[in-house]
Amino acid sequence: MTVSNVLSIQKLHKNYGKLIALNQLDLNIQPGQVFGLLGPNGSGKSTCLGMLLGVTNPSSGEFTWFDEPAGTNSRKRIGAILEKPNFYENYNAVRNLKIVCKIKGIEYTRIEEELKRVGLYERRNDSFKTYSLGMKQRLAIASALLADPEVLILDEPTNGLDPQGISDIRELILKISQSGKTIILASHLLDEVQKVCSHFGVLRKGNLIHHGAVGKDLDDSVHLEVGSEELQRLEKSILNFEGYISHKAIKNGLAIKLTQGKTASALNKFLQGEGVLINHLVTNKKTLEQQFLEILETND
Amino acid sequence: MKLKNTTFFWLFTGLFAVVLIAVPIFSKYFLDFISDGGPEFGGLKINDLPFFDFVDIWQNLTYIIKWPAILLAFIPVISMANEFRYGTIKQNVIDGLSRSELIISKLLFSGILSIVFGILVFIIGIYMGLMYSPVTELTFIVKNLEFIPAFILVLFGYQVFCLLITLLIKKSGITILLLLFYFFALEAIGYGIVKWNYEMAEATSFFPMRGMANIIQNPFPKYGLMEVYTEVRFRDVLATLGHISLYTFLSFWVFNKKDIR
Repeated sequence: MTVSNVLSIQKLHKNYGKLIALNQLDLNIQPGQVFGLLGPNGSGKSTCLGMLLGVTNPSSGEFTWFDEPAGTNSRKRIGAILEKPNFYENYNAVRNLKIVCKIKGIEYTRIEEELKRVGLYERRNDSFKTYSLGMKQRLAIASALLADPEVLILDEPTNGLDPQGISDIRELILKISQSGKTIILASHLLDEVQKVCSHFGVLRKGNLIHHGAVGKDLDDSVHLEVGSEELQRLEKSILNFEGYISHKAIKNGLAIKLTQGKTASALNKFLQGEGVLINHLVTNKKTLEQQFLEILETND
Repeated sequence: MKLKNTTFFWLFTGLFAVVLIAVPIFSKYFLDFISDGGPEFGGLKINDLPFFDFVDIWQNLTYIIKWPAILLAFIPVISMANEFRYGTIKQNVIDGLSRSELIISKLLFSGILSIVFGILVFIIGIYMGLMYSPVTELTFIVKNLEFIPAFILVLFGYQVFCLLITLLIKKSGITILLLLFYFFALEAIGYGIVKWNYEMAEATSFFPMRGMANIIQNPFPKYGLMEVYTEVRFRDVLATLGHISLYTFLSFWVFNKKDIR
């Protein structure tokens, strides 16, 4: 089946009294995208996903899943976990997943496969309350994948996990994304989005202040850190370097932004020619984090 | 749709079942005890009262047991509150269950529970009756048996009302305390005032819980030769059904309107 938009949101709005949780959101997500919804805590990410999944009632606005009005049928085609894994405490993994199967209207046949995929097969007969947070999180992912959904929605999937757990979950997400599923991932962790997402949107105080492809937005400027004992001379001479864009003062030196293709060694050579002695020179890759902070700054 | 046979479920059904079985047996011994050495009312021993006789037994039994029946109503309270607490209700909706389907599954469960306990009371009634009743002809056994479906309605009504309150409060502990306080203090006092105010007596039907429980009228004053209703009155059935419909409707309405968090 081909749909133009997996998800299409028009003017979705939610306010709690005077507090605006989500402000007139417009957004389209196409099949196959891995969409990262970025934003600080309390920026409206969870409210937004809650509305898309029917647990929160919108104040106004509309959205469609798979070009159809949203309802229980569209939710059955989505696998989702919001905030924390929600399962029946006294039931074991298999029993919990059977309930999900019942709701989704599918056979129990995939339970074993999914439990093996997330590495919980050995513990399948232990009750949910005995699981560690990482195991709970993995069971939630297994549950979300159970119906082989077209869309996977994950809200802070690595929240509260240890480094091993985080890397396990990320690997799992990457593997799933390679299978061509559409994924919507809400996170306040930038490098998480950078590592797994193809597209991203930034929410701030309920407003979508930026959205686009991850690669495109990473412009190709070069960022360097230069340290010197003669800061003033460095600052003066750097202005004459071909490819100079901007600089700002940092601890013991300058952060310098250069055009694409310039290298640290070229700058070093140039500065030597100018007679400026440097004691520190590092190339920084521009990360989504810097980009994110810039986006936040320009929207203040 | 989904059965939640967890610890609390067995605790409360078990507790109620014990009470259910203990009450008639205990009252039998109690009646024996006070009639042995106790006072006599005009030469009539209490033990001579036809408490467990057929025809009377159904109303007597269901009337007594409808009070501890509130225990049973805590099952939907805890079950629903737990679903809120562990977020399973949220996950059910996310997975594709509609909110109305959720309420229906809860009501269905309460309905089955009510019927099961209705049948249990029936069995106890038959047993006690056959043991102690001087008349055991079928026509007498069957007469007034409508108190059993009436009892099932009361059980169901209690549960629906408690479910509605849980949907509003979402916390099991507070809900149970509040319900107990309401049932045994607030409503008891209000009911008493209205009941003994002769012109308003019929207005007792409007109390949420006693309004439903009214379907089984107190049979005991008749042993003091007072006039009481010894059948299920049509208007009380209407009142009970009215209460149940109202709380069912409100449950759907409240739950569909609220955000699940």
